[in-house]
Amino acid sequence: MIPSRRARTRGTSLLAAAVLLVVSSSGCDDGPPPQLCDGSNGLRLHAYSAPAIGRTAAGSAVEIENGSYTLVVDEGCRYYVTAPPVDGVNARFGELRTGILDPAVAQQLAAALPRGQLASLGDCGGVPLSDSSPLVVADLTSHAACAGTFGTRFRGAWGAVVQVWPGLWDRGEAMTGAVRVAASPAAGGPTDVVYPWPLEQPLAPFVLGESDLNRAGVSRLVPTPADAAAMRDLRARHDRGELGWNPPGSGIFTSDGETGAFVYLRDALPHENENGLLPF
Amino acid sequence: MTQTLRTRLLCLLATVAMLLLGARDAHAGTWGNIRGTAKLFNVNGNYCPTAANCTGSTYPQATYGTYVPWSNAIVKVYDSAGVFLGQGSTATDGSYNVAWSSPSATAPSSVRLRFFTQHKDGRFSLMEANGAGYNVYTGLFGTGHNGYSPSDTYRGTTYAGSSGAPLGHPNAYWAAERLWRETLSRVGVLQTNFTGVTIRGFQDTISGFMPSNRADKCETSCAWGPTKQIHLNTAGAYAPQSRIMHEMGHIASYWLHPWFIEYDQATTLHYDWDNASPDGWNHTTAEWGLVGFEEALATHFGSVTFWAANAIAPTTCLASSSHCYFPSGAPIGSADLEHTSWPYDDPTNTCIRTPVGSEVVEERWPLSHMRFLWDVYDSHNDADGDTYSAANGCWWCQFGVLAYYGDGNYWHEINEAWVYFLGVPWAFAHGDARASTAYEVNYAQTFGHANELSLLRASNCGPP
Repeated sequence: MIPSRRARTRGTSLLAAAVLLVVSSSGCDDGPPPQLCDGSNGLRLHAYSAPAIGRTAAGSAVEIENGSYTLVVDEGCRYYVTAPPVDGVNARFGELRTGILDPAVAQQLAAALPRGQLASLGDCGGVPLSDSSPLVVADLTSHAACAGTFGTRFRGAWGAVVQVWPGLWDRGEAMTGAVRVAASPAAGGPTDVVYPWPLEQPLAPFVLGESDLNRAGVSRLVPTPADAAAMRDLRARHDRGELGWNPPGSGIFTSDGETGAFVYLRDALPHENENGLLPF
Repeated sequence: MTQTLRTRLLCLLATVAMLLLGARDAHAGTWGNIRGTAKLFNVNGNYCPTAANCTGSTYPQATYGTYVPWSNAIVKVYDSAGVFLGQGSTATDGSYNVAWSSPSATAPSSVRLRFFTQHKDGRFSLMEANGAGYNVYTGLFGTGHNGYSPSDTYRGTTYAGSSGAPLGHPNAYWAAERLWRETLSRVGVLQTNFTGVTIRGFQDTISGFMPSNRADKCETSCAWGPTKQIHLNTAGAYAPQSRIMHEMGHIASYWLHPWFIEYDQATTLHYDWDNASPDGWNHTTAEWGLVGFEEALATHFGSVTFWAANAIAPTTCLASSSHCYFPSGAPIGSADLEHTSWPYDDPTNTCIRTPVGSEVVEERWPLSHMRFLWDVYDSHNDADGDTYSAANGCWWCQFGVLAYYGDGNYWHEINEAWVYFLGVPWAFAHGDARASTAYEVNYAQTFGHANELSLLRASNCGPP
């Protein structure tokens, strides 16, 4: 039998009253926010800038595929960061540092970026700037992303991240593990600055095919410590301009005698998958 | 007239002249002019390499890695204490003749010149990241002023940068100035509207530059039309087509016919056609028509600056500070403006139409919009066998088509993306508005060639 409208209304009212009773008996206090790093397995936070892959140099996606400017925090409060996105500091994309968050910073981040509720921060508002890169704050179950225009909530959250970022970078230690490498074919540009390829294995397998030049997740892992150190040394020499000048953003022009290519590399992250991508 | 009388008369004239000059010195100080030429060492990428078919290239490799004129830029004169003495500008060939004056009765012992990356007519100013006026300056030099007559000083050629130490600001200025002089200045409405553009670089983050609530971080460069502002990123100096020319293209696009850009569309329209991932665009990603066309048009202005309408193998580089050809000379596919489908070695030119979620729907690529715009511009049929061209003897007419759009929000009018209520836009409704279809219709209404336009759009995978 279908209950009358009045009966259904009365039933709904009773249900609402019961819900109110339960809520009031348990209290409306949500309690302290969840700890940022509670020791359980997995990543906790990923704050990053997501520039368009392809709007950077062909083959360079490996450097920015997990965010150009990026901050990652795992379950043990270990963090990984690029140089911070602040005036006058330009990240050498792909170079990260690592360290342990101190409790005050962890609490500050947990308060600004409530776990599982990041979508509520997405008050972007307005039309994005042309070509702006989205800024993203993400955890396992929620995320917010704004491209070039921010409301109060997102600005506050991102601002909290940027506030602690320089300190994390300054206190962080250089990464020492594996690196990920990709290369784009040298298009025959007039460059005299050729850095020798530092690995025993040939350069050719690292050179991407045309369809992969602007794709994420196509780099190769260089896992052995000695080879990874050699690649980092190559990067450092290029940063110092040891053999001369290359246009900024164009990669390290490298040759092993057989193959010439622009090489890009990034410090590998413990939580990335076999393709080099983080889970969120 | 005796010798004595002539001598006395000359002495009298000389005395009068000296009195006059003395009076002038006492009241007007000293003055003069400085002549010379300014050049910059050019290492902008996106040139046409010698291995490629460079028919129609206006930026061949011979111009790369050499000194080029610092054209149509502001030049200022200062004394050794930094006191401003005068201002002029370079010409297109880099030559200048700048007047200076000093209120002092005695000429400054030495002066210097400062060459700015600011357009002489105020079209655009390329500033340092902190807003200061970037300039390259000479050492101090004497004017040779003798205290009585104006001096005329020739400084020879001033060279900015070198092969081992090129300078970013002058390089980006070179590309910007060419874009304005060779392309944008041809459009009447831009002669009126494209002025006072402020560009800052080169940093990924520039706090407080863009209007309130807009990003201060932009690692692939950004533009905001309404306030005519451009933020160039760290590596924004030597990749002209994708950076300074492209961002200036956004400003030009907006000011051809300002549209209702302020509406909060962020939750309805992202850069992605599938709205799936928070990333930006590139040549071969599927975008909503409005966004894909806007990016293509912004790029197109730079493409036609570097390539004439008779070009056979034109490219537009997405990010490269080198060029966009293989060593063999063949264009890299994703930069190739002329071929009608990609991969272009597909003999059937079949456009990729896989489902939306995979983001490879070729009709929605900015590159497809670019190829359509290119074919409207070029003066010949496509090399791959298509047999139509819209060339109508007015190759620059296409740059200003947006100015002819209707003002409303009906089909193909400038604000067709929005729904109005009581004359006020209140909802975003049409993600494929103000795109290639609208361009085709408005071009045909203005300049004719309706059939050709329709075929050209269809033959480039039919961008919306």
